[in-house]
Parts: sequence; C-alpha cells; structure tokens
Amino acid sequence: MKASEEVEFTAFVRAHGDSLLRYARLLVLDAVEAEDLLQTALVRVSRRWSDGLDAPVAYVRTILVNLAKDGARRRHLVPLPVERVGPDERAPEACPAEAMAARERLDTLLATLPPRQRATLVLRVFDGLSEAEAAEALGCSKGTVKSNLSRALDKVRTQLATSLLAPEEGSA
Amino acid sequence: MSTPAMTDDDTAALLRDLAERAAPSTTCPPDLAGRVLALRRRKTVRRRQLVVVGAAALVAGAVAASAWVGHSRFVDYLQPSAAMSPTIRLDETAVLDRSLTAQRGDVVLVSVTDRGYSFDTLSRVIGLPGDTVSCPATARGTCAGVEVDGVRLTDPYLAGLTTAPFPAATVPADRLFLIGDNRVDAADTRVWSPTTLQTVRGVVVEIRSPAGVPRAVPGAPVHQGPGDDLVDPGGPVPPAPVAPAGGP
Repeated sequence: MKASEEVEFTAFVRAHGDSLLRYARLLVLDAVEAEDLLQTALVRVSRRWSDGLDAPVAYVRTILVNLAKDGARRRHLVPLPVERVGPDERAPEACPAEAMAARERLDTLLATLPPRQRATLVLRVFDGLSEAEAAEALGCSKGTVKSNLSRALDKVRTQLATSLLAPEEGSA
Repeated sequence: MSTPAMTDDDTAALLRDLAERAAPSTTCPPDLAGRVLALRRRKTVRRRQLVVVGAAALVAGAVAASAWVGHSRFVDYLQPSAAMSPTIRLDETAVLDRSLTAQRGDVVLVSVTDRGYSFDTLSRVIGLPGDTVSCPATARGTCAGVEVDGVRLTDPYLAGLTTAPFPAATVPADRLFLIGDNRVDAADTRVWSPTTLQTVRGVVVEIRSPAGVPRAVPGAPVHQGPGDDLVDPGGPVPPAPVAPAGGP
C-alpha cells in the first residue's frame, strides 16, 4: 500500500466507520465482537485497496455479513454467553441514556438468534434487500431466506413477549 | 402484556426504530484505520520475511543436496559383461569403494578411453606403474601363466582358463595393467595398449549375487565393505574355560 492509498483508506474509515460499525453491531452479539469483525473486514479490504474498488462500503458490508455468517461455524465450538447480555461497559460516557437503553433492548431481542438467522434478518429488515438479493448474498436459496427470516421474527416476538419491557414498547 | 397479533412488518418496524435510536451509542474508535494499517504492514513485512527465509532455505537445501547426492563412499555397479566371469558373473552387482586406491590383485571399475570410445569396465589390476607384465609363450605355443617382473602369478581365481601369450610390457606412470578374469574373452590392457587412458572409479569390495547374497572378491586384498564397521571383526575363538582342579 502506497502512502497516498493509506491516506485515502484512513479517510474512508473516518467517513464510514460509524455506519459500518453500527452495521456490524447488528450482526453480532456485543460491541467487542463487532469491532473485531469490522477490523477483520477492513484488513481484508486493505488487501484489495490498491486494485481500486468501485464500492468499498458495499464490499465491507458483504465481508461483514460473510464473517458473521461464518461465525456460526466457530461459535458452537467456543460458546459465548448469549443468555444474559449486559450493558456495554465500553460505551462512551457522552452517550445519551436513551440510545444506550435502545441498544440494550435491541441486543436482548437479537441475542437468541443464531448467526445465519441474524444475518438474514439484518439483510431483509435493516438493509431492505429482496428475498432474491438476500439469498444471493448469503449463498442459500430463497426458501431458506424466507424460513430463516420467519423464524428470526418469531424469536424476536417471543423475546418481546417474555422481556420485561414488552408492555410499554409493544403496545403500539 | 405481550401482543400476540403482531405482524412481521410490525416487528421489523420495531427493530428498525430501535436500531435508529440505538445508533448514537455506537461510534467507531478514531484509531481504527491506523490499527488496520499497522496490522496490514506487519503482515506484509512478515510475509516478505517468510518469502526471503523460505527462498534461502530452498537454495541452501539444493546446494547441500547437490553436494551430497552421488558422493557417497560406496556405490553399486551392475556388471553388464562377462569379462570378469566367473569371479563376477553377468547380472551380479559389484559394490565399489570410491575412496580406495587400487592395489595389485584388486578388481577395479575404470573409465577407459580407447581409440575415441569411452566406456566403463570392471577388470583386475595385474601390474602397477613400473611393473613389467608378460606372458611368455612356451614351446607348445601356449602361455603357462602371467608373470609380473619375472614372477609367475598363481591366479587361483581363474577357473582353469588359459591365457594366450603376449609380449612383455612395462606399465607407465599413472597407468595400470588390467586383465579380465575371463582370460579368453576379456578386452583389457592386452587389447588396448599399456598407455591407454584409465580413470579408476572405484575398487570392488564386495560382490552381490542377483538374489542379494554378498561375498568377498576372490584373489583380492581384503577391504572393508559397507556396514562392516558396524560388526566386530571375526577373531580367534577363545579357549574353553579350564575345568576346576579337584573335581569329581
């Protein structure tokens, strides 16, 4: 990587780092894992940076989804505590309480989802991809995307029902 | 209470709304780009070092291999001719020691250049530089035996084959007088000339039959064969212990 490319890369990370990390945050359990995921993805992108990428943001997002999806193969070997997802100790102090509460609630809702269902949910719900696009991104059939999404939403609903905050949030 | 009638769209909207509100709680660490670049640089350097070390190891290994291959002390040579029969028959293997110098009586593998042809052949050393070798004809026109400096050789390995007479010749320096054990058919110094170029490639220390049974070279000085240094030399049998006096 040349010096000019490094400057370019640094500018790219500064401009899109926040949104990419938030995206990664949706895909995995906690902030630490999300940062690891993003770092791994950025290292991969930096390897291809000299080739001149058309859409680096999309490229990073694809890598993030793939990494999160592949995490399924490793996580069952090294189980992480998914039962209790506490508040993020590393969150900055300046962060508003309302955002932190929303983050914690989102984490609780998504924590029970296995990686592939979670990736499907992120692509379909947050990215707004069609079934066909999501199927291509995840390397599975449309039927699998459909069933994964339906199961994921079912789990989220169950979680909503059991969580203490359910009445006030879900009354709409 | 929970809301059992919630649709997929409602759930999705709820999640999107939550994500929207949670977004400010996640900010990218400012040094992330620097960390990634440092990681990348370290990996590149490490990869280059690996390539350099690997290439160096490869070259060193190739040099070591080329120095080692074909430079062992003992080599096998499959006898393709009947020139040394019956001492070394066709298809038998001669084990050569390349570190020895030829003595009188040794069977050697020599590279011979004779009238523009080069070839390897096994033959027996009869005369060393300075020796005069001859086979004088008797009154009946045959030769009683090869003589070196006027002394007749006993040649116990010849199996009764007679030698045709040839005139006396003195062996020049750096040459050997070679005669094959198959005295009737062998091509050797009698056919070439005593001044024919010879390069000794090795001295035969052992003969192996096609079945792999080894035996010593008849009529040659004893040399150590491959693996012989691992075995104790055969010595005299120790005397039986003396029975204690005053026994029953």
